Amino acid sequence: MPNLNINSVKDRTFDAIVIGSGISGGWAAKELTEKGLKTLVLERGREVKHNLDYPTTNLQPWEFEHRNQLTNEVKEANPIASSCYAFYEGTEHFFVKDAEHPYIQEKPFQWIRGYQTGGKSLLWARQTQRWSDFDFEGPARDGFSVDWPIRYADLAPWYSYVERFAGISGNKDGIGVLPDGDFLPAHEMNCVESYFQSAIKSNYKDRHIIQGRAAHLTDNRQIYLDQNRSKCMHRTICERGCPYGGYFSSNSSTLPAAERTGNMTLRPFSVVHSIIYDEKNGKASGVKVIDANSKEEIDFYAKVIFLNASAINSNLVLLNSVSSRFPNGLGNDSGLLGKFMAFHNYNRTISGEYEGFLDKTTEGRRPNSPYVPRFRNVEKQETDFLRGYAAGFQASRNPYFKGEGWGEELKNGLNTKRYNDFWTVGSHMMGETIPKESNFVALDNSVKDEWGIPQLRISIDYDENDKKMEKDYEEQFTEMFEKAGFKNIKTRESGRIPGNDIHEMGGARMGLDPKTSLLDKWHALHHCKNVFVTDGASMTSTSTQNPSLTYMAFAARAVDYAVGQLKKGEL
Amino acid sequence: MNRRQAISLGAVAALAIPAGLVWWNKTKIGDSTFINENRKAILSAAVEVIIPEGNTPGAKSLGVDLYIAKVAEDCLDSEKQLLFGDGLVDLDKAAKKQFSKAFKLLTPAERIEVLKTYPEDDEFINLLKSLTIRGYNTSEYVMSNVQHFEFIPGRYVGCTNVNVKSNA
Repeated sequence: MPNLNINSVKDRTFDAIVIGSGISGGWAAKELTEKGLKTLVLERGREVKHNLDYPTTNLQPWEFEHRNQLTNEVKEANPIASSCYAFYEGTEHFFVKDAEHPYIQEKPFQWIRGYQTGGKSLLWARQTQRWSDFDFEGPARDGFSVDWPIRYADLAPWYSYVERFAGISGNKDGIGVLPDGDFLPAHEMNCVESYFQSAIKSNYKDRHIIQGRAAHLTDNRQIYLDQNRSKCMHRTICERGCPYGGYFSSNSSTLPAAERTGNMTLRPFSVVHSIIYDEKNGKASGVKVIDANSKEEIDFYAKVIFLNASAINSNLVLLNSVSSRFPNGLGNDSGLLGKFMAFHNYNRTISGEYEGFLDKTTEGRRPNSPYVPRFRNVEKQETDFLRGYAAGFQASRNPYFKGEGWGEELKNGLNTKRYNDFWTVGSHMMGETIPKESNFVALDNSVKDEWGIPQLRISIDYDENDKKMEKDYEEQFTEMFEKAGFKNIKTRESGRIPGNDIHEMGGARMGLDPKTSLLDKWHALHHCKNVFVTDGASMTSTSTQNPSLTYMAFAARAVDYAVGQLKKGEL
Repeated sequence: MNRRQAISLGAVAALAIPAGLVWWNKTKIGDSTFINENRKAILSAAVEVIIPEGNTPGAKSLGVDLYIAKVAEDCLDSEKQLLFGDGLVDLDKAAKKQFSKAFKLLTPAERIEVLKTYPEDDEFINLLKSLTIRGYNTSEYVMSNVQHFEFIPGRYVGCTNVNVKSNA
């Protein structure tokens, strides 16, 4: 830990404070420090240094005591964390255990968290699709939430800016709903995926199968070598941390960049209690921190504060930042803070078989898969539900080993590589959910956590619109699979509980009108202009794209504005 | 009620009693735990013939019995633990009934014969077999020499010719 003399206000004063070091906080830290601001980055968890703190990254599958199965003890103690697909023997240490930060599930909600430097950027699925104006104009056209105060043109240069530095692979597909970006070479589609792509193209004019855009380095370029990152090696165990820096994380990319400026002070084990509001100046003056270990209360001060604690925790910090000016939470004159939360609906999958290309298979592994951009209700409303869904798609023909019989017969089976007489194909939906006032997070002052902060009460659920959309996904994808000649098509309800998508959004939404939104078009609180929220909390609507890339662009754009305002003396 | 039904009802009862008592219930059925030394010996004797030694290592020399004991202890739920521990004792009883000898003292052929007397849908025998296959398939030897697992593939080729030759 740096030498912070907690007795001296001067030593606890910085130009900027960033709360959270995950995917958006890392970007805020990099941009602020590169623009010359002395910046304190607060992380509530421990420090995880790139490479040094990836204990399982080089373990072979057989080196895990339980060969990557979870123990009963871990499962029983962590029904929430263990519901996550990425939680296994090799990654447990990067997830918050259920007992570590309790919350109240007014409705079932699996809140998946990573409390360490880098946050969940170590664990994410690395899909990076841009938004378009079909997304930003959605609420205004369809009459839900409030109008976004920004449009694609506002964000486009910032998408390019963060894509170039993070390293995003993909094709220029020329699809209106999913603008092209500054891409590294795309991952390859396999024979059946390419076949499906052309089958869909010949059957539908507005439906596309493309390779997913993903935050993987597919080429060694100077900008990445300068970050000590090199090409992705296709190990597909990204969530253990990557020694090559082959995928983007705060740990491998933005935090080291911020560190190199000499302007960053990173303080781990710093649970943010609240943002301190200075009634006299009408601005935030700093951040109250509870040291996670000593439980000591320490105040830090800065001219500008970036709140990037992750969607729900950013709501928590604002709700807990009470003052006589803001008795219901910082900037919460509208009373809407914590409300209009939404998420992505992953509750349906479909599978099938394809009996072509039987002399072909694939080789190696791919940390990515094809993507089906939204095609429903794009140009106009055409169904009995609002908005639409994107989808993942994948075809595979992995060898298998037969497990029949006993003794020699069984051993022979297990030693003989075989292929089915078909390829397996599958898809999962990623549905837009509509933010509603009844989906909310709120403080429960009757129960506090171990740092003396009220626990959150989370009340978020599916609605009728989601159910109609699920049905449509099943119908449309069944039809698309049939048109491509896939057989044995089966749809499945995956039973995903909200939160498990790890795309929780909203609560401090952006908008033009301070009466109906919390943040302005620069992500500043309407009523406290030196506090910026550039993570999932700021989302006015959810659209269908995996949101992280958008948060990165938000953070870079908002820092550029904030520093400009500082220089003009307006913050 | 047959014995197997009795076991599964016993397991339900064990789950219904307060958590602190489950351990007592579990230890009661064996000498020390649901998979004691005697049962481990039966397990090893079974694993040894399920995937036998030959030109290439079998399950026993790959340590699959040790893997199963570890996973059974740490990863199986209490109901499955009861089923598994008791199933091993049963396997010994079946051997004594058929060959008047303890399972571990039977010849490999006799042991296979005992295993084959179980119905195909028998829960214990399927658990024993699937754990053995999993332990074998995830061993360093099989992953490296049979499945040719690449830790660092460095590539993805989307369309290549199938090679159907055996890797054994």
